[in-house]
Amino acid sequence: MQPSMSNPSSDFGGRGAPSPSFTVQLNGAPVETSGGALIDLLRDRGVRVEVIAVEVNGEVVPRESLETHRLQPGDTIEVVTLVGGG
Amino acid sequence: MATTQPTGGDRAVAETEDRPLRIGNHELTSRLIVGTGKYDTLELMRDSLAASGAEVVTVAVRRERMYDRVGQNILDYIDPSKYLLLPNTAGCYQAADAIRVARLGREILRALGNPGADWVKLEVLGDSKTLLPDPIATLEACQALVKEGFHVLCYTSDDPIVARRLKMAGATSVMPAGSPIGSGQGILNPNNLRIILEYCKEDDPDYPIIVDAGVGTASDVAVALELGADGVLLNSAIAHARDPVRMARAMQRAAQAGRDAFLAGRIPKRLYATASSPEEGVITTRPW
Repeated sequence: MQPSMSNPSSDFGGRGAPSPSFTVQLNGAPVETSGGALIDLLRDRGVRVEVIAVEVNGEVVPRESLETHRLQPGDTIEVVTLVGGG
Repeated sequence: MATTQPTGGDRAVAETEDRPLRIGNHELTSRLIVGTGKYDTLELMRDSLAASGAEVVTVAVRRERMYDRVGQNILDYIDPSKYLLLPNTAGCYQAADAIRVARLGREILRALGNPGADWVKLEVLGDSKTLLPDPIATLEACQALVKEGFHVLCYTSDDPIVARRLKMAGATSVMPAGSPIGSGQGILNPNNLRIILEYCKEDDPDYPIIVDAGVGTASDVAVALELGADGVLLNSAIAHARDPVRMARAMQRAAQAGRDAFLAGRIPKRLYATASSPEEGVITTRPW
């Protein structure tokens, strides 16, 4: 499992500075995120977590770990589901 | 025309004198495995699956379409507590990709609690025009997935030597194509299928051989099972029929007929006729 990273926004302290954001690749498209847990990125996009699997940088992230898996700059994320096929 | 009930005696024979089809950890009553692709609507797919009587349905793994919230999920139309799902690696042209897709399919099914999480239909293609398998990449992926604990149901060509190598690599089932995927040409080389059956079942008569791909109509299913294949996997022949639900029902009946004919044992083909009515007691004379 990925070690959890401290919240990067804490490095910027008070003063109302915007959270630093970074880019990840989500299903082939660049997405700006302010970090956090993988599950939040999925929920923001209305993904039905019960019918998907997620791969980050080529490794499957088990369903149970979506809550704790922290996004990292440059992550390549694939979110897949089942479709009709033969 | 009114349908007639089969007589009780016939039905009892048909249903009691066969063992279930065992593939890996799964025991199946139906000899048909059907795909879920290419249907005009998900409702039509749902009804066709039901009419086919299949217990196992194949599914593909694809990117979730983000932002497309109108899109329903196929699982809204396939009850995973009712069907055993068989995820495939369709669309993969390299062993490494097929392994990735197999792992993702397993993860979806595991989290769904579907017992299909332990198996995969491995498909590693060599060419997009023929959709013929790449035998070398297929063997490589098969070996790797077996090592990871997958029960691998392996799509392959009808080459007996490759089939034997896949079995030796630990494939749970070898699944030769009758003819190219979606071509509807049926079983182009029944002799190769016979040799595959002979080689793979030589010391292991229960080793399952599934004819996968090429079925065009119900008689193709019957032919495959009459030859001794343990099951048939098909998709397009139902999904693209003019009336898919009716074709699904035809496939189910063909599977039962073909399997029964195999178990019953066909008569040998002969060049000359053999009279069915007795010679003895004829009241006529032969003019020649």
